[in-house]
Amino acid sequence: MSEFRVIGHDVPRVDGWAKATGNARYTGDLSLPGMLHGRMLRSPHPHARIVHVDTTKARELAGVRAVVTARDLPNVRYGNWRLQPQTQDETALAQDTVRFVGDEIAAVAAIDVDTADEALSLIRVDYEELPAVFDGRTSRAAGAPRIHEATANNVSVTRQIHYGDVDAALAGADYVREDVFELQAVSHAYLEPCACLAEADALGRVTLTTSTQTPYIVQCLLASALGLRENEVRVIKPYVGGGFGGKMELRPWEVCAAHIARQTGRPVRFVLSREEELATGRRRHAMRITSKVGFRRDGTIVGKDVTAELDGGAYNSMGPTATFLVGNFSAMLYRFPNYRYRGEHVYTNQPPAGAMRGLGAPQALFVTETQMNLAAEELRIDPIELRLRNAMKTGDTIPDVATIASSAFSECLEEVARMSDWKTKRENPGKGKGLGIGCYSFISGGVFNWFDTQYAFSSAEVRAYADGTVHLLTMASDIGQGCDTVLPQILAEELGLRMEDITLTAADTAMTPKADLGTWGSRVTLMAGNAVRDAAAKIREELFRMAALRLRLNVIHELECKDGMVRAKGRPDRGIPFGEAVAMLQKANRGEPLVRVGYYTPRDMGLVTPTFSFGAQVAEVRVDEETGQITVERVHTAHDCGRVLNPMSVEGQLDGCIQMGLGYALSERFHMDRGKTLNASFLDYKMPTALDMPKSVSRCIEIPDPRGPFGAKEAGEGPVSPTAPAIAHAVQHATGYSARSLPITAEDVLRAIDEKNGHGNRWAPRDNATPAAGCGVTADPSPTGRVPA
Amino acid sequence: MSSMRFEHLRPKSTDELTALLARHAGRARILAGGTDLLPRLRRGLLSVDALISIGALPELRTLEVDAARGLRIGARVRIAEIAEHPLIQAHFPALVDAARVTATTQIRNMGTIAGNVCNASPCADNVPVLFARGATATLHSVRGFRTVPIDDSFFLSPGRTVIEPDEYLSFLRVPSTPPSTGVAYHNIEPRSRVDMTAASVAALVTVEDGRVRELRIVLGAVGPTPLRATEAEHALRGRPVDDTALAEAGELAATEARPISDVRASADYRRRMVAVLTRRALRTAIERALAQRSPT
Repeated sequence: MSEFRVIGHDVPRVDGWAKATGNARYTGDLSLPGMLHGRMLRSPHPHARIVHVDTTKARELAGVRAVVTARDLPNVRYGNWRLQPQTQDETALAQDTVRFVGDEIAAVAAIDVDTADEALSLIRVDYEELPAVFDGRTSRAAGAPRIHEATANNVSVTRQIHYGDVDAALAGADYVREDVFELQAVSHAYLEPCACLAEADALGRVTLTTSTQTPYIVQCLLASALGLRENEVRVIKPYVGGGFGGKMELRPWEVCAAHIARQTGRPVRFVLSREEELATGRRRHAMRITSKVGFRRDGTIVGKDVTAELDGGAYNSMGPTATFLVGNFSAMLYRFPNYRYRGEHVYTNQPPAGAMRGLGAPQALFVTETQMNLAAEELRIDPIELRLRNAMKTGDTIPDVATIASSAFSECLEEVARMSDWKTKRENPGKGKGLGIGCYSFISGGVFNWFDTQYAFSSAEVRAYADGTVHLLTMASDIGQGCDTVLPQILAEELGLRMEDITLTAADTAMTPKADLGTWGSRVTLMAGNAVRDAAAKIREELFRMAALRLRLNVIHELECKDGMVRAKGRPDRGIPFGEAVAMLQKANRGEPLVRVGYYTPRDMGLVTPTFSFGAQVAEVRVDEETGQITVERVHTAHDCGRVLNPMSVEGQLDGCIQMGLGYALSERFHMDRGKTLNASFLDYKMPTALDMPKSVSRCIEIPDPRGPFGAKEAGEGPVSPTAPAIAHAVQHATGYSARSLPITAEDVLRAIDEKNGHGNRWAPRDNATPAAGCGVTADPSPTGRVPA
Repeated sequence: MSSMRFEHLRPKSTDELTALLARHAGRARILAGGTDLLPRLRRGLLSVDALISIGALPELRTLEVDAARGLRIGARVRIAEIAEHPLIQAHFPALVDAARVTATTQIRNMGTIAGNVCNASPCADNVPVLFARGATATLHSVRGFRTVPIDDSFFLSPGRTVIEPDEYLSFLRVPSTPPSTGVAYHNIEPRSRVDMTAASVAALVTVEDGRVRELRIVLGAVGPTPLRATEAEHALRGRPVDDTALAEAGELAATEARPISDVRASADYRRRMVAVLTRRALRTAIERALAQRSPT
């Protein structure tokens, strides 16, 4: 039996009932008296100079209350990377140049959405079209049009990592392979489109309810964009229907809503359409990655040399972080004694890329894992065995970057081999079937302070009451990942209470302690969880003082909060009920309530994260050899997310990751034509549905991590990466087709089968009429592998 | 949007319906399930003066199923009703094949079979089977009524049919299955199990003494309108039922397809799939024909 009462148990989500019954109110469900409806005017051109904007007719339309252009707003550039202001390249509305199809030019607020839409059609914009570029390589070539005045060669960020002697290591390797990969942009496709509702008081102070992952970041940046002080803006995060990294920045409609609310005195709500989200919303970076990796004959990796070109689209967004993380994740999973990385973030006239679940890892690990699988084949070593020979272990270091605080990667590999019956099924997969592997490692929160906050990274306030309840206040933002359940679980465990004893107030910048940097980088469980533990420890210390006095305990006794009591450890008879202890303490303190605030900021933990998760996944596929259609039948996952705080929640995260990985592997891409998105609907942007989901079997290898709360590590972001390489490997096993780009289509598979059957000419070259965003899907760079002589 | 400003009319009788259609002279659309119509209006792809709902007309709600006399499908019958009807499953399985793969559960619960026909989308799942089975549509207007076949003369181009602006479709009629005959529908949804059909084939085959006596092959989503693969039919008619004959018919049907490339699939892929689907649909239809003949 578990030593824990609340953590480690399947505690149902506290928001589950409201969401399942439709009672949860999202921003788009909120309405206030006199509320106006806002809509954005967007650029139809990928790159153009704005010569003139005439809003006269729109302003004159009956029912229109405000029309805003860049001239009405303070001239402020913003962006998440406050630490490096030169990367802050966005204004809420385009000032004189539009840089992508969808760039925001103006906002309208009217008495209803139809009127606002009609007003948009009455705004006249004269453009002078400029030459545009749609992929990184063209953009950084000499003579390419400059997309931002300050960036001469369109390369806005360069990041390098280097340790050991890569050239010597590769020169001395028995086997070296170099491959070029092109990965496509994909959408977060969160089910709730971005939405916000702004109100202003008589003094012009703003309350913004918004569908965000980062209320604190929005508060700070919105204040700066409007010329207000930080605390003259209050940001509230209501129920949020997913974000996956796409809602972690200040966005133009938030600035416009707040501005119009201040200007008109009326509440203003914006709700984006699905078409706007798919055509103009943030995306995962399209990337071109060249990777050269060397092995000894026995499979030991000797070095790796990686270059990555990130198609950032028109603005930096979270590109600076992505550019570093691709380098970080390319060096994960295995021991790379010599390593060199150079990443460049290139502006193009595509819709901007941003953070998306895994930020840099899905691309980097598709490359790493595909190369491991290809190398295993050529070295004639079983792919799992090759991984075991190189797997990162607890205590391994990445020079100047990180130390592996805990790793059960090897155990995961062994477990997934058992679960999937790997050896047998690899040898005898059955006709049209295949088995493949992919692995992952991911950060549990970022330690790099790019937002340049002066606050602790996470904070938690705990108010203990004499009635036996406690109130937890935290700015941590549940966007569906489950922290509104897990943080109370941690607090309940720490104070020996039940879930129903905890009341939660979360993610309101005026009510909850500052700060919490938001939901990204799989940081919340570890960082906010540790802040909750810190607050709980402070509360306990007070209660223990009171209990020791009251119970006349010998100083040798240890105390504990358990089962609703404050008591001597090992002496359950010597205790007092939690609420009674609180009441006595308050009386002793002459009425002062028992309130403590806990904090967490990672220090002395390298450049990346306090600790990494690890895992291994095997996919089983079936291919219809006549139609080329791929069915993923089963996915086995063994993962190391430290101690599991809520098994049901971890399983849910894994299912979500598999769904995203499946789409990345087999169906999701943007069809672009000169910067315009041709498939901006769920009809043609093909996200896998429930019917496409494979069976999932999973095991957690529970080795408590020294840095996570109760030993927990991240569980919701890492597993998004292994699915695509595992599926690709399984498809290769079944058909011989080895993907260097995604998604793998039925047509790719048929072409490979034709080649295998010796009628290569029967099948026309891949139709190139609708290239994916910044991704030459036709590219088929052949490896320059040297097989040991 | 101005395209979302229109009158919503709800006639209480079919006479009132035809009068309204005549009065609005092509500026009105009939609203049944609305699953195609409303998104088109919302996106500004269509503008109308009036939407005429048939929701208050119970006579269009009827579904008559009779193995001997055939089907009579009223204009308001939902796609899901066809997909789940036990007698239709037993006697008209190809209609069920098509209805089950149409769009999503939600759309099947709202959308109608008649709407799927009237919308005249080249990739409509229910059309090739109706065509292969020799279904007819009855059309009414103030001028009277007429019955027309659901075949290549019914569909003029994507989104256009022979239905006049003042006419409405009251019901579809599907004849009973002839003896020793099987019908099947196979389709390809290339990117997900919930996708628009990229290519489809309906086949009707009458088998006699191990030979194909009569057949009909209809291709969907590989041309502006559903296409009958007459050369493939001709080549197979009278031949013994074997894999070679079916494969040849498939190859011929592929040459008769007129597919385009779009975001769902390339023309090459669609054409190749016509060969595969034709073969598979013929095989299923033959199995059904043989099963139907065997004593029960």
